[in-house]
Amino acid sequence: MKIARARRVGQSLGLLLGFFGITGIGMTHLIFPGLHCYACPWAITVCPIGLAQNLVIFGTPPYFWMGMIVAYGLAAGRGFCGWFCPFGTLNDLLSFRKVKIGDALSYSKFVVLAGTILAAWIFADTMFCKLCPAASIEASIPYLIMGVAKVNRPFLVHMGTLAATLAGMVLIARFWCRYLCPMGALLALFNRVSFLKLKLDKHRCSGCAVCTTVCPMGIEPHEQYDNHNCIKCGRCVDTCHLGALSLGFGVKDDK
Amino acid sequence: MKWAEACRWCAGVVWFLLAILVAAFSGSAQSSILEFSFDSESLAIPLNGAASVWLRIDNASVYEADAIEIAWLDGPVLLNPVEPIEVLDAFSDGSIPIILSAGSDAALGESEAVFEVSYTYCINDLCFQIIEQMALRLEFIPAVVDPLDVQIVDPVLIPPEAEPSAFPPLFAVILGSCLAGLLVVGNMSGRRWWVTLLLVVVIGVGLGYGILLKQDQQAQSIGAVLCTSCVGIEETPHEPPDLSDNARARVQALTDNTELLLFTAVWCHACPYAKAMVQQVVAVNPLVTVQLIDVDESQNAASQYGIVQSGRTIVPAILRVDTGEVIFGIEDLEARLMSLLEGSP
Repeated sequence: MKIARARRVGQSLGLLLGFFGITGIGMTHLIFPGLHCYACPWAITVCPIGLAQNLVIFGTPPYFWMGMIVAYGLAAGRGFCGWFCPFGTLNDLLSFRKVKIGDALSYSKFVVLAGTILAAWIFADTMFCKLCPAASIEASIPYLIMGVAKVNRPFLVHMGTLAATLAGMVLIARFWCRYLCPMGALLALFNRVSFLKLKLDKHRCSGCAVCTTVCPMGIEPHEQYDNHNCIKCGRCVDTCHLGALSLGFGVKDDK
Repeated sequence: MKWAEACRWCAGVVWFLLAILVAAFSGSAQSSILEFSFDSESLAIPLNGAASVWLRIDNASVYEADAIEIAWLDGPVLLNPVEPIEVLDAFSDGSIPIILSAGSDAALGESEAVFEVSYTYCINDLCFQIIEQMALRLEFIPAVVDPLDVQIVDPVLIPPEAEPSAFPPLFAVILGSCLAGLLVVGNMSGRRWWVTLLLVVVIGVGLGYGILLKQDQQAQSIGAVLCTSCVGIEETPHEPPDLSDNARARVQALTDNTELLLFTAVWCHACPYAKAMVQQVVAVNPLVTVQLIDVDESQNAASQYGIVQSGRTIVPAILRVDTGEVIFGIEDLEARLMSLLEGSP
């Protein structure tokens, strides 16, 4: 259970960074290593997906953005989804049904990412933000309470996408992270080269597949330990009685 | 090759295409409308001669500006005919040469001339004419013996300073392609020391060059301003507003001077609508005046007037100066603007 406890600390730090603006610190130059709306009244970091869309609209080559994203990707890949992202934490809280559903479907998030960028280009507007369920929770609802937003069509669209996503999360653990998150797609590109890695000692693995039953991303850690969808949450590590799986930082080459 | 491997390849290719797509746009990291400056702070003009100065124009906005013209407004000088700039592209700059002759009322010593610069800029289908005033300090020096000896800088041959180098989109394409290739290799083969090393280089170059271009500040300013229509708090209007007859009558009936401040950002999609409506109000009753404030330029003004809520500057926002009352956004704007204007100070 050590990993589970450490992960709670990480997720708490993610929430702390996500909503640190409550102290009045204001916006910083940092890009958040997860999906966290910069329009949130208490955000102090810039949303990577919102910023990417704006850069496309402005026609700015995304050097700074790329540097930050690659840095996050190289450090932990999708580890940020499992250990830091506040919206991932919400997914976690609703992870009741850790079902395994076709691996191929999980590539849909790359389509979401490409669609987000293309829509920003075609419509010169942040179209994804208007649908983003993280923005629904972190911006629409707070601004409604603050009296800046009203119950209008865009608000109802936000509530609709939020309700659909929440329903998806309840039915399929980490539904958003698995199939739809564009930030997850970005970090997934780095999952096999990142320093934070899930490792498998094949000599110890008996193939009992108990790890599969606890994986919130619906992958089979004993067979796909370097899957692009692995959020490195370590549940499988805690579950494996034979100690075949381990999670750790390493800079050495894969064998 | 297993299909999963093939999908990883595809993921790399998607990344590659995204990098190309984004890199295909080039520009610099700024966000304001036009910025004007003279290339010298003060201009020496012989009493019987002329001198020239460059008006530099920087379009740091995401939209092109059209029909940029300069006209004389005040001061003891004569402005020679000036060729207007028809189109100034987004993220580009230009210069207008200005030749000034001493006017009949010029006297030795320091003076000042005021010019009016006008231009048009459009956001989608909404266009606005912006008029700004610029002052130039003058110093009239004793007449030279032969006016023909007066050196006038040839406005065509000598630009005030070298044009800033164009953004190297090629560089972005190469960097993006290298990254895409690396990720494909990484996804195919797992971690290799040289993949890691090259990714570290990408991080260094990306962050270093990005910060050099002030892209980190650009990111901060995008995050610090909440445009109500951008994140889906309001609809993005596509039609210009049309002040109703009832509202016109109510505005005409106003008898007190009312000063409004309209807080906008260049990239805010709802702001042109708010601006157009306020301009219609101002046109109906001259007692109502409005001053536009770009929050990217003047974050202090925004916080001073309470446009900042929980550390986020919200645009568009209309502030009535004497009451301090603010309205945010454009939802039901006409009715809210009327109640803002009709409220007693």
